[in-house]
Amino acid sequence: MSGAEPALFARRLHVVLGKGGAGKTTVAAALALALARRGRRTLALELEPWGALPAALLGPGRTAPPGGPPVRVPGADGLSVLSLDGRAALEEYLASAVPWRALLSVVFATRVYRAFVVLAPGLPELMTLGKVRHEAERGAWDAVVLDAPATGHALDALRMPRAAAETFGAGLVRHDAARIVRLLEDGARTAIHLVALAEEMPVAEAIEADAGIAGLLGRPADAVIVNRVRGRRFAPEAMAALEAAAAARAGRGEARGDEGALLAAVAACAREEMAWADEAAAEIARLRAGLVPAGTARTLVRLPFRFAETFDRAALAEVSLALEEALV
Amino acid sequence: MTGRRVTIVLGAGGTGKTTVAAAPGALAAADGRATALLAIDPARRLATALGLATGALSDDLRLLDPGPLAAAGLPPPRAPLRAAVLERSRAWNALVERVIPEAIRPRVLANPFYRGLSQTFAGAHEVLAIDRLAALAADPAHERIVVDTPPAARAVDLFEAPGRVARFFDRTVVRWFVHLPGGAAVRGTGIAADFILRRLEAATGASTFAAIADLFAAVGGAAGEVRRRAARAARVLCDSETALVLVTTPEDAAVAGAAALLERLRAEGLGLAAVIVNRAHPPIDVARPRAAVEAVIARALAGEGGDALRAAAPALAANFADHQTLARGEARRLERLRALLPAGIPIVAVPPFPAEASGLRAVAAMARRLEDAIAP
Repeated sequence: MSGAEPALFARRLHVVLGKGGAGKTTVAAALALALARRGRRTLALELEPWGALPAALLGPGRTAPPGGPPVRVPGADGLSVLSLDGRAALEEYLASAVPWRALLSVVFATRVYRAFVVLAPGLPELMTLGKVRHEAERGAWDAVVLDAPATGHALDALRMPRAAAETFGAGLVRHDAARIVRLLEDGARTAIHLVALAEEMPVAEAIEADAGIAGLLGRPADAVIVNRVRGRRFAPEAMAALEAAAAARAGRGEARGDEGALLAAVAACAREEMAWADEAAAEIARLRAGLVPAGTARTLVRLPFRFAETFDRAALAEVSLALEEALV
Repeated sequence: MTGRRVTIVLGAGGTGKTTVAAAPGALAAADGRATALLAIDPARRLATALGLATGALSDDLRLLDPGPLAAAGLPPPRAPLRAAVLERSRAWNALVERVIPEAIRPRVLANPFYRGLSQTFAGAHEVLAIDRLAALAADPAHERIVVDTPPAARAVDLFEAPGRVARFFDRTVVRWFVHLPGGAAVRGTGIAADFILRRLEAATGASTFAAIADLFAAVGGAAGEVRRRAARAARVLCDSETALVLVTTPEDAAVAGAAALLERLRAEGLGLAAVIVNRAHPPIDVARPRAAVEAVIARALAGEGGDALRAAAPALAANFADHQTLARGEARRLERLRALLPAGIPIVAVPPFPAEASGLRAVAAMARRLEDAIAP
């Protein structure tokens, strides 16, 4: 699984998906920073308003106005971030079909229009994907990075254009849905990045998601990124000796003493770390075995766990460099 | 989780929500109460947590075998413990079977708009989930019901689902769509609306409205029943016998997500029963400088096995310092979370247990740690 697909970084649309909590948004932000660093005009996008992507790139508490315009990311040349909003995208779309804006604002307020949006519940979501496609294809950006929803919902989102093309009769929506499907299925233009953690449930979900992606797009994820991987930092013998020393002091009634308590605390941290590292090794092996066998070598990236009080922009920059090194 | 009949477990993905949801279910069954576990996460992780094969759980409640539960260290159930996951298209068809008269059912099931609605579109899952929960709650055989919800923001959609269904079956709108195929301007909607809908139709495809209209013509008679079910679901969510429990981890993104969810719950007028902070490190109360810690470790290792082991002292000291750093950050974020909660809402901190991180053993470990905080 080594040997990165050479054209991965050159693709136009990068869809980042994975289990919630796996660090999907962090990876999307890191990938966008890496693309911008390599001189590509890059747009980082999230599908729903008020997600975490703007804060990841702009700083804690910062947001991007839902529906746009894109906000430039300071300190990253050529990188902007945009939150999409389904309702706004739908109204924008209709505005392009109906020229009288004054009339539209009256219409958007009517009960029948609101009923229409409720009745065609996929329409706003489809419009956001249409907007993603538009941004990816209109030429203003060299790369568009999409922070997709958590896996189950992301697969729904990827499945939707095809379903919409079948559900909606011949019309603009059907035409647009078919264009989205073509872009997603085109391995030369679109890269799917699957983010996982080296833990049981995230690995089970990643294996399922990889098969789901293969079923939907005709190819599995282009890159599998295992986030926050913990590795062995010391030999098991050293940990065992430390535990024995702590136990001996406890046995002599020194556990409450300064040194005994310290050794017990150090041993507890060591034991926890060792357990995480062993689990990570086993789960990465399980992940490798469970992924869809790909025709070509696939990239499996491990991003190391970071011990920090808080995950700040400096931490994000480090992750971005590690990701760039692994993917290029 | 708080002695109430229905517990709805909310939280961002990756917080261990499913494991947390399974634990009180197992404890309630051990306490002799017939319990139903319902997962509505479309990723369907409940089977993994219960030590079953992926796909082993379906829309039908499955009675769990007490053997593996006890083998994993859970107290043996003294009442049936059942589990189900929501299967979208099956649940949707079952709903149609319950509310749509048999004579017109094939027409509904063959409707292209209905098929799209039931299989793909956002929101459908939430509507079904809440209907399924209401159906479970209506059956007195289930003494305890625990619901594992979809991740964070989607979970709030659950609470909006009944209103959404009610709007869907708004009488005026139903009538409007049913009359649409005639093509005449519809009274009361105005010329502007009529015009825009013609444009919408051109954009979305001529067959769309025909399909919607036909669907409504078919289900129009069932609208009253659907509205009644939506009202029933809304009552279960707001019932005093229903407890909402928020699960988070102490990590940056999870705490930020929990804060946002608290905000949305407050906006919906929903109160929490408890917050569970999973994988929270207990504070490490050691003030010694790192060099001194390393010296103590080196001496202890040398005493155990000589110089070969002693070489590991810097790595062990670094690991200890790193864990102290993590614990400091976690403590700060938990303080922030506590400040957002109304007084009297308990925060239950559960330490990490990586050695028991998987399947039923994780559920058992979680149950042991939650036992004191839970009234079954």
